[in-house]
Amino acid sequence: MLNKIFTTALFLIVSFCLVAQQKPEEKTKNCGCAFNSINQIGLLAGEGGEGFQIQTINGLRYKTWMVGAGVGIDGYRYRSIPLFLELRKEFNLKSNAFFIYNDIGFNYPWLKADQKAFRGEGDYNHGIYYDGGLGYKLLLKKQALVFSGGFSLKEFKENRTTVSCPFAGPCLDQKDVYSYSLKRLTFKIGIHL
Amino acid sequence: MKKFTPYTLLLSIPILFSSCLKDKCQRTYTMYKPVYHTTAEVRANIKSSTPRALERPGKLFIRGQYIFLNEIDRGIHVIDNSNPAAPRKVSFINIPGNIDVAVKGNTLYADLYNDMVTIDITDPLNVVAKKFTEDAFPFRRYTNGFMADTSKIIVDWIRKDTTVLVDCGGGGQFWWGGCASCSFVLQADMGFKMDASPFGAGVGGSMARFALMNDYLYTVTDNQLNVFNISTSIDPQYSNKVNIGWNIETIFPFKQRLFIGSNTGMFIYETTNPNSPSRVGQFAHARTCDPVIADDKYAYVTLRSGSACQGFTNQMDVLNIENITSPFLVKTYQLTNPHGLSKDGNTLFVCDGAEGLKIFDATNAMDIKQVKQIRNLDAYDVIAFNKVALVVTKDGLYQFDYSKLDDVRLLSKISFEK
Repeated sequence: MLNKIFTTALFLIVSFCLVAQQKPEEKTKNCGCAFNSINQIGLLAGEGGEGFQIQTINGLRYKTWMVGAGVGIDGYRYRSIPLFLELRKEFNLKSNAFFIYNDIGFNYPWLKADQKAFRGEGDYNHGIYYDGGLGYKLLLKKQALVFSGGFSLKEFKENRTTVSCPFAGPCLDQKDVYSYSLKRLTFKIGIHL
Repeated sequence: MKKFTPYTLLLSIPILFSSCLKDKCQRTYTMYKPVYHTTAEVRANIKSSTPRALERPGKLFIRGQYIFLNEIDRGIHVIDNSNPAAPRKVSFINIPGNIDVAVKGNTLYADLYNDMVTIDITDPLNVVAKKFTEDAFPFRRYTNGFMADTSKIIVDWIRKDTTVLVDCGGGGQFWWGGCASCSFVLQADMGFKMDASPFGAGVGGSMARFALMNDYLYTVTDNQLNVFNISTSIDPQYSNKVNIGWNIETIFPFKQRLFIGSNTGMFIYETTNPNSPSRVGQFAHARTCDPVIADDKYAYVTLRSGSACQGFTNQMDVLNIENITSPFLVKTYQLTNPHGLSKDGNTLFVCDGAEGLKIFDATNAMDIKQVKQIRNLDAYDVIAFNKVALVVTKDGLYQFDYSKLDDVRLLSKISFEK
């Protein structure tokens, strides 16, 4: 499953990057849309401490609105991979300006070995992912620097089976379901192509 | 202002959610609360009752046409096996806390938690409890820290799924989560307190912890051999106890000797003085679980890994016991996860867990050959007798006709209900 996510994400990123190599005048499509790519890193801070994050969002812009698909790595408490759609509204295209963004999608757990429970077996399932907030875009020559801050939520579930084998008789399975809902502040800095 | 409506909406979502930055983690699991009856009520209810579904089978005992099959912690199914192709459940004997059984003639001995009950089974459809030997198995009073209310007896468990908040952790903190059958409910009379399982696997259902030999019943605890004089079968008298080491698991009687399995080795006791068996030989092995059987020349010990066994070995050791004071290893045969075993003549039956039932030609102990494997069974106990092999598996009680080893046929199956 994880391989599929990575392969798909990598394909999308490479495809968009190839498209982005076109001359500026070729970017404009019949709809007046233009390809945009945002690549950013940042920090997540919440009750569980801090975590590192990295994201890439690629999509289309129409006037001051942008919609795109994003993927990242989220290191807050339990490492995971968010996959999401983003809707972004910029207040000015020709000068430095504020923007608002909202991301909604799925969060896929990708736990490190020391993050997993060391007893029993865990089967991890994805949950929802949300990130939304406010930012500021600083125009450079061809790109822009983007700074943003907001609120982020990620969820996932774990089905854990503990097997207890008595000396005689069948082994007994105890099934527990753990659900995680992690809320944190998010701060990012990146390049908007 | 209308222009700002979508922006306001976009910004309101994170503002709304950010009002609470608290992580929330929950655990949903199953708890069990014990149902208590008085000792008098329980004892009055030990009789033949309506047959019930087989759910968690334990030890098996055959007497004549009847199979006495333990339902772990509940009692004993009485199955009419006069036609092995069509066995019939005919009654159920309610014995809370029962995990072991032995039958001599018309008398059945069973544990009822820490007590022993002696039952007249002259008429298996109308059994009568004759005697209760109190505290015959004191180690059964508690399991992994849980001390039951000893003025009453647990007869059932109420299951409830529950959700509680837990620490969100962030690095392998949940190592206490969910231990099936490792604990009972603490302070049960105060209501639901902790998750638990009713089925006492922490005490250990066992293969053969009771053994009958002539006028004596021998039972093993974790570290003792208890001796009961049953010369008057319906009036067993506790007569002696012998300290035999630690982590004792099984006992197998064979020709005036008791072969006792522990998770560190096998011990051989002579019963020249039946009231006081004495150790005459032993064989040590790696820490693991080990049921054992024997014939005139050899002992066959299966060793397996698993959470209760704490070992990593899965094999069968064949020991030469001709010199009983110095048994020695003849050969080791690698298996997958062997459990119970049985032998009829030169044919050896081994329950090899998920690998099913394996049948061996044991004519030559140095070269035991597998002649048949019956797959798709998670087998853990077998009795081979009179050309019919009764196999207890995870999903049912199977009976196979092995009169022709090259054509072992399934005769019947009683399925277990989940």
